[in-house]
Amino acid sequence: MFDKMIKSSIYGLTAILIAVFFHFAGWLAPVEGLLVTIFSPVQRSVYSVYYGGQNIYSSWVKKRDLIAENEKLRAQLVSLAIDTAKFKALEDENDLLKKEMNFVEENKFKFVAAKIISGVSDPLSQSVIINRGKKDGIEIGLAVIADSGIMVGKVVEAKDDYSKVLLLSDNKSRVAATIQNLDHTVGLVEGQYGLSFSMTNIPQNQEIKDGDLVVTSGLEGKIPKNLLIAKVESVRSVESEIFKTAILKPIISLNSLSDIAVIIP
Amino acid sequence: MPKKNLYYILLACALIFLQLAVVGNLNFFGGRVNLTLVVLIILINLAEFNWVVTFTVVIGLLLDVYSGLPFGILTLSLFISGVTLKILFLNFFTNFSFYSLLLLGLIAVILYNAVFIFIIGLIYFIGLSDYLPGFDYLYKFLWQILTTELIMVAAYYFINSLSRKFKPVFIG
Repeated sequence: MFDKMIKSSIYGLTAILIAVFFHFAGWLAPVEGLLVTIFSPVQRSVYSVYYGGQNIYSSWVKKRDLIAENEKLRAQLVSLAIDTAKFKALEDENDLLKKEMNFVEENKFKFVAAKIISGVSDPLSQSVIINRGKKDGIEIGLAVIADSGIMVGKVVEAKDDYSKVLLLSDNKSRVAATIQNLDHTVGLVEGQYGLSFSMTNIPQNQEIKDGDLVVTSGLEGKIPKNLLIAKVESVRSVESEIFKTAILKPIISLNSLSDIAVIIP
Repeated sequence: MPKKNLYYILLACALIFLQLAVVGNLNFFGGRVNLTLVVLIILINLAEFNWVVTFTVVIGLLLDVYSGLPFGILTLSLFISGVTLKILFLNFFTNFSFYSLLLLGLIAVILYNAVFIFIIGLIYFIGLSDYLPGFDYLYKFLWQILTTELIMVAAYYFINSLSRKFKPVFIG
């Protein structure tokens, strides 16, 4: 009995080692591609249903929040009406956001539209799998956008028929970015435990205020300049340190993505 | 017997498919439900050793295709956990009781995560991967224990309503 168990375990371990070797040698790629291709239509449907259900819940939450927000806004309306300077600032910001929203069209970028097939199966990374791959011109390092121009991640693995996209909120995610302030501060946008992201390596002398927009700097060859990433929510600064950190607020939720586009430079 | 075991494996594959398509995206207060472990524990109770090995290898490789981590980590974690749990089951948990199932579930979550963290840590220190679990992983781990045990309770009553394989020794 025990001998039989040892024998089975050795067979199992050998099979794993062979599979890992075949994977890294690239010999398993056709089988993996076939698996994803076979499963993707059903997975996409199930994911859509799940996403739809999530939307119903989000709509309900949104409605509830909107009602509360509406009441709050009504109370603030009187003071806002007389504060023309603030109004002007909001108007400017609105114009800027509109420009960013139409970024892809204005800049005539080539892009590949894609759908998210599923999330990843491990508990550590914040990634998604999309239904476009090398055959569609997808390469590692390309920017992935959602909602007409907001960057949500980067392609980290490209297979023939599908690709893996690392979301900006992943701990491993690093994107060279610029803050749209007077100094045009350059830094790195890093993921924070899958929850949010922050911008690091900002020199202490740079003036950053809450609400400043963060865009891609264009320093990474495959990612175009000025793709909107996030807004500055707060700034964390310790005098004894060389750099300060800006905590960023995502423009859109990275947990409810469905249709995205990959920008081809 | 092999036909019955094949049925378990097919059922397990269907559940894993559910894990990949839905549960992988489903968060309970930041912690993911690990349906694979639940299926593994049930299989450990119902299937023979060879089928546990086959299941962990096949499902592990399938999960690795969809994983953002270096290929093989999930398979190896699942395989080591599966083999150890089956040996534990054959020696200490053979009465199919409600409490032994829950205890096996608890050991499974702890063992799987310990093996996973050990392998991921080893690969990190070798320099093959940039992933290393942070303190937030502890939170996910505790939630995984809770969700796994809850699903195990539901699965126990469900299987008990279909078959008498799990004899309710402690409960009436």
